[in-house]
Amino acid sequence: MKGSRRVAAFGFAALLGLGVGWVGRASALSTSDRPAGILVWPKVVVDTRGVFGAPMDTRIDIASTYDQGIRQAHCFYVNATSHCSVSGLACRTGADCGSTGGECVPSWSEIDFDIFLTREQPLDWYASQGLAGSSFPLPSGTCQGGTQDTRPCVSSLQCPGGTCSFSNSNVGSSIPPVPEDPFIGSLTCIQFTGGSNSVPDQTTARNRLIGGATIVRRFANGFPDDPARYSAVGLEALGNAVSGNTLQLQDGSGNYSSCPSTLILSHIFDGAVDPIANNVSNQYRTELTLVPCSNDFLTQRPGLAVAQFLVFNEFEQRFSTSRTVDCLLDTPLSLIDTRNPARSIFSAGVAGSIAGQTRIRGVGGRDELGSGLLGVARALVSGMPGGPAGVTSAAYGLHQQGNARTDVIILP
Amino acid sequence: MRLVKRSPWLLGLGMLLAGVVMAPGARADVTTDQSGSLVIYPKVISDGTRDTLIQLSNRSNNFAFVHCFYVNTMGSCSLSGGSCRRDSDCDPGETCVRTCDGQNFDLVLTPQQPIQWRVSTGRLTVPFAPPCRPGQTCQCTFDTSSGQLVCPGLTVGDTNSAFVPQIGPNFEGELKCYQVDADGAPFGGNALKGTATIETLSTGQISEYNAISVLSGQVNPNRDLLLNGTEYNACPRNVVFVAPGEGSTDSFTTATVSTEVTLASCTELFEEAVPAPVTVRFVGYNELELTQSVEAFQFDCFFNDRLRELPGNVFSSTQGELWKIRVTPSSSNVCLTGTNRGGSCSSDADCPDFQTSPGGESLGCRPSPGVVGVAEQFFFRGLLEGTAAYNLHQESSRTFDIITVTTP
Repeated sequence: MKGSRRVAAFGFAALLGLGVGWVGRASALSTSDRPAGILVWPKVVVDTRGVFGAPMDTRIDIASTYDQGIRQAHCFYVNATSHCSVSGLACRTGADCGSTGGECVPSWSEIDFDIFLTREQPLDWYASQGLAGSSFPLPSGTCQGGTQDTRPCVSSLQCPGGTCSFSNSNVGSSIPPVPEDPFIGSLTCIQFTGGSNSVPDQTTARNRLIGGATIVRRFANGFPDDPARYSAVGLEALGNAVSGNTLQLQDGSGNYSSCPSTLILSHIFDGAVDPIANNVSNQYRTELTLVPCSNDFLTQRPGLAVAQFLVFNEFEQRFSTSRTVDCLLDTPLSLIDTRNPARSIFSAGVAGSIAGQTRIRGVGGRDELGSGLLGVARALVSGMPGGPAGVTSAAYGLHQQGNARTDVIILP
Repeated sequence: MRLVKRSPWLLGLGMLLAGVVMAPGARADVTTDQSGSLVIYPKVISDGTRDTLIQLSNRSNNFAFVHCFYVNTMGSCSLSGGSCRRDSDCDPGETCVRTCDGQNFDLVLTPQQPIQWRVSTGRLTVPFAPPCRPGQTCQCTFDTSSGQLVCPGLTVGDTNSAFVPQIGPNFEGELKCYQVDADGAPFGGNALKGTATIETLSTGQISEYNAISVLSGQVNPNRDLLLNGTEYNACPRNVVFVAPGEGSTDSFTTATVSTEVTLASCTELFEEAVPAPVTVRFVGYNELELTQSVEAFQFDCFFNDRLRELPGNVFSSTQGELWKIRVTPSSSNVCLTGTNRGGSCSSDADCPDFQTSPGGESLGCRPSPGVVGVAEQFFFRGLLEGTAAYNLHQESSRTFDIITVTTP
């Protein structure tokens, strides 16, 4: 390493490179750590009866960072649960349908709902349960003036001589439970202005939503529960008013920041022994969830893209593969390119090292919809002493690079 | 992560092209989803109960030279010398003294190369571990003489020294890594990306978060890293996170939920070996629009504790089932060094014997340091606990922080 420091010309040329290119500039990228105008939770899973393993649910939270008044979030659950063609039961792969259930057929549908957040308010709910209007923390307004001043109300008719104010209430909100159990899908929430002519918020009060999700697996007594939490991915509103019902996700002239050109995933290769436990029974695998940035909620067409994967190991070697993302892709890394995980380029035995870095780029796309992708990863370690089937997990966001793409979200 | 044998002119040309073609957009704030020239792992634990797996990768198509500092914030009791995290860990009358010492090491990453290491053991350069093969178990091995891990991957050089030092089981703190050029001077390549996985040794429960990346603009190759929005992006004005009320019951699992928040100072004085005095304000908003706060909370360089340990346990479930908590560094000035270190000030004259950074910046009276951090939820049922770490959100930025580094 010291030898490398004798590379005399490096400094000159590198500084030249800096001077020419690395001038700070403003750009719009998706974000998982700043408030935004659109939030995307790429992975919402529900399996409360434990059909596919330990019972599982997703606790979703959303909060307003606006300290002046109510922000409306218009949200879409996308149901990407597949079903067996004969039995109609939910499935992940054909193996879940058995010999008589038929094929595992992908499906796509969406349901939308509204959340009205008061000043700086946080809310959370389990995806399997939703949150009925009456269950919201502030389910009613307050009479202002008249004989019922300060009394709770849901209409001005209840406030003779006064009005019912909703300035600090969640009235109008209702979050449905996900439409089926088991469920896998995503959630997208768009900040609207609220009021009688509510439109996607491009005002100075835009970009005030933050969110997260905790995927929780419940185990029987004697074993710890397994929470895995990630932050929702945000797309910042750029202040350009939305024309019609199409949201342009495009840096510069669009309505929202563009989706990243490339997603970057750091991971331990599947099957690698956990370097901390360093016991052969404790092996890593990583689940990757990708969703298209584009969606046509008007005509119910999901986004589509071909994800190109470029995988690097610790020996400076690279491998590549690709996989179609139609509505949603949720898969162990080592099943992306093969049905035999041991032969996958994401397998430690094939990759040759413990750690990997994978660059993911969406190409193709459907009609006028773009090919951008967003995602989240979940690392799992097997063979741990603390759980049945011994799997513990942790979710984390993907990194991103570049913003030279255009996607659209078409609202109903 | 090996001896560089490439043509220096080609390497330089590559850097030039990288600058032209791949200039990343530099916002004025730090981020957890882009690569940067400085990466901060705010929570690194190796205390015998938990250990941490660090992943660091080079996102660029050029070599990345990296200089890293572990900052051990485990304190020692003022009289007995025992390990402590807070005053209550010591005998009555003693205080827990944190020095926030840095332990540094160097790395070289080849283009796009990922690496990993276990904090407690570190990772040895040699002996060379060959690549794993299909059908074989792929794992690191222990070097019996040093107790360090040897893992498949490119080697750094030909000496039998660790490329990442062994930290041992008495560490709690952070890791900061910044990109340097071939001569060891700070360099703005924006190529580094990191994640950390904290593992509970007894149960194997893992928590993972993304390291915080600080993008750079025009980096001055001296030993002052200025997080001023020009040289490096600036630390956030606020960090924000959502957490269930302390002690609340999760309806799906019936577990009791507790949240640990970790805050690391953006200002770090490695050269002066002085801990940065931090003052922050916690303001929480619950689902009923009620507000609670903790004012003028002070710590030296690093804070890592459960929310219930904050004064008054104001974010408990009895006060609210769900909290959105905003942490804001003090807007007051503070003496960073000198005999009045940590005291409020209005000018350097209020900070006797203050020091000056290697680049000539006054380390006397400056705005209070900013913070970055991470949160971790614990789901308790009996003695069992599940864990989940997550990054904090950020709002706006403040341009006052400085990291002084030692001579390479």
